[in-house]
Amino acid sequence: MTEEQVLFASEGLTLYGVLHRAEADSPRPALVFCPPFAEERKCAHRIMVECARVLCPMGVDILRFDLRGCGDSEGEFGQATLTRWLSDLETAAHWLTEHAQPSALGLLGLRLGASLAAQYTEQHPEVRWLGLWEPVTDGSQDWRLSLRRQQIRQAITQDQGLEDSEAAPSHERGYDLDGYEVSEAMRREFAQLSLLHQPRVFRGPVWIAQISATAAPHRAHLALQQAYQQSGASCDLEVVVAEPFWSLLGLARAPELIAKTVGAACRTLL
Amino acid sequence: MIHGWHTDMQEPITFTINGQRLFGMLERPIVPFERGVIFLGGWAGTRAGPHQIFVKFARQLSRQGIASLRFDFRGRGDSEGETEDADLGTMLEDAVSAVAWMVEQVQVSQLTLLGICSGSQVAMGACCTHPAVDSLALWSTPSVAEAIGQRLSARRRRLFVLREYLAKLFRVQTWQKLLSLRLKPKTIGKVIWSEAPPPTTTGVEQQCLDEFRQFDGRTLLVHGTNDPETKPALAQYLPICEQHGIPHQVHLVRGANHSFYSLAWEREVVELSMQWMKKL
Amino acid sequence: MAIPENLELEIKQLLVERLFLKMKPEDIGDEEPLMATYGIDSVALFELVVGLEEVYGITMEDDEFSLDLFQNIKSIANFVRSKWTARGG
Repeated sequence: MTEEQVLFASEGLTLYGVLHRAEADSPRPALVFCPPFAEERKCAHRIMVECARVLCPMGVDILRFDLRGCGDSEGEFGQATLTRWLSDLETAAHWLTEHAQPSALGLLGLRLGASLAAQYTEQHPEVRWLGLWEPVTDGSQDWRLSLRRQQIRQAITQDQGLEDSEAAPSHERGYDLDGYEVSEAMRREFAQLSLLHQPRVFRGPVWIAQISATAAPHRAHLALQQAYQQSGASCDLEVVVAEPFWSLLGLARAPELIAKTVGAACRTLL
Repeated sequence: MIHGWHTDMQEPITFTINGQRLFGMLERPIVPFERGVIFLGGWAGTRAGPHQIFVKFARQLSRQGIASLRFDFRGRGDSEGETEDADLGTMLEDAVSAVAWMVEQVQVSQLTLLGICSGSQVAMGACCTHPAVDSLALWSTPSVAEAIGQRLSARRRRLFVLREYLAKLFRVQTWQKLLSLRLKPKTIGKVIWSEAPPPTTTGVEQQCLDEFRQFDGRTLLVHGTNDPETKPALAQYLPICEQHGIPHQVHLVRGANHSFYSLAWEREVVELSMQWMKKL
Repeated sequence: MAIPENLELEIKQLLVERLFLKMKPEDIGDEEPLMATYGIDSVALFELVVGLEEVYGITMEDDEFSLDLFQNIKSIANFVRSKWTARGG
């Protein structure tokens, strides 16, 4: 397996990525990893790297990349929108197809990255496998929870104050989500995001991984599975009991999730 | 050039230590420059820094004619190495390697090491390893005694539980419960030591502190007033700076938490650090 | 959904499950200070809030949130009961 840093252009901006190349014979399948939103990327990054390093030697080329305004890609986070990020994902998938000439293309996303991947496949039903780690199925609900998370963090911060504490000064434009500038345009698109519309164009296979403390499938994931199945797509839902590593403050590991993901991806792509 | 290898200012790089590649990003100003900054992230972080603060600052520095390197420690981010093998000692080795790389490959003659949390401890540890290092920007440096207990949230939990149980050991009711088997010693043990003890880094932490005591460059300490680690940190590091004649400046960001999680706090930290760096 | 008689125990079970605590729920005292005893940080508290909303079908409004609600099991249970009473459930 080799790993190389790559740069490619998306609507005039340079995006950064890492291409994991397998040593198997060509042509071989390829996968695009779609990262999660804002600080979730920081927490989840190493797990996505570990997953790529387990999956690639099985014979799958993998492109991990940063959306515009994120990580090492160009652009300002505050100028990003879900539409522009979907465009970045299109560019990444196109770049990988051009350079790796894969026998089959798959996508794997985490949280919002999973939602973007799902949206991409609605426009590109030729994708051969879609893996969704904890997809955001309802953007307005997720936005509400993001604000709640921020509220909790601010309350704890104020509680730990050495002196009379002050809340973080408010931001003059858009929203300040713990150091990420979220534009009103982004917030609106978040509020409109829903994966539960029917019918769905993509016919699968789709593999949904629910990562949660409880073993029981969540209603939202069951509804997404149903939406796919009722449209004639094959869709499996698997629960991995694990901490929500994308929001942890410390280092996280997810060996069971990685093992199950590799199994699910290889069963279809290889 | 491979795939449009570098933009005007940003260049993906790798360097090797013990046969393992570390991935990084070099911001190279398009004007001639002498100073470089090496960003050193926290224990569980990536080279972007919390809320991408390192990325934003690095790009601003580049526009001001200051080069910078952001890299992932071994076992972190994109870099090679096993996740579980990383500790403060390997982070320090990586930082020393990064210093050598910046001097040899980028030809900076003046280096600032900028670290956050554990990264600032690493900055202290590496500050005397090369004469080019003439300044340290230390954000939210934990005090040595605190660092062991607070690096992992799981570890913090164990310490809190241990304190609580130790307090209870001195109560009559505890012994009554134990003797009546209502408290199971196995349970207590499980709760306290539910995960394997983390790597012991006390020796390396002390080493970093000892290196800092030898430093004769300028030091900036930035802390949030609402970070519980601020008070013990200042109590530890200010006397060291005074006693060892280390020129230093302290800035407290009012209301801020450990990682400065707001745009306003971030802006204050970056602007203040930039102004300080321009005066070097 | 009726208010369970053993709401405090259920909340302890939720705490152990959502925070991945390696202990039995019944070992948590009703009035033990949760944040100090179990080192609950912002991530853990968020998971607890989400868990309460999911399991008990309640929604915590922005102006309702306060760290005081999460002082101990008893305070959390009182909050859940008050939400139920308010909606007549």
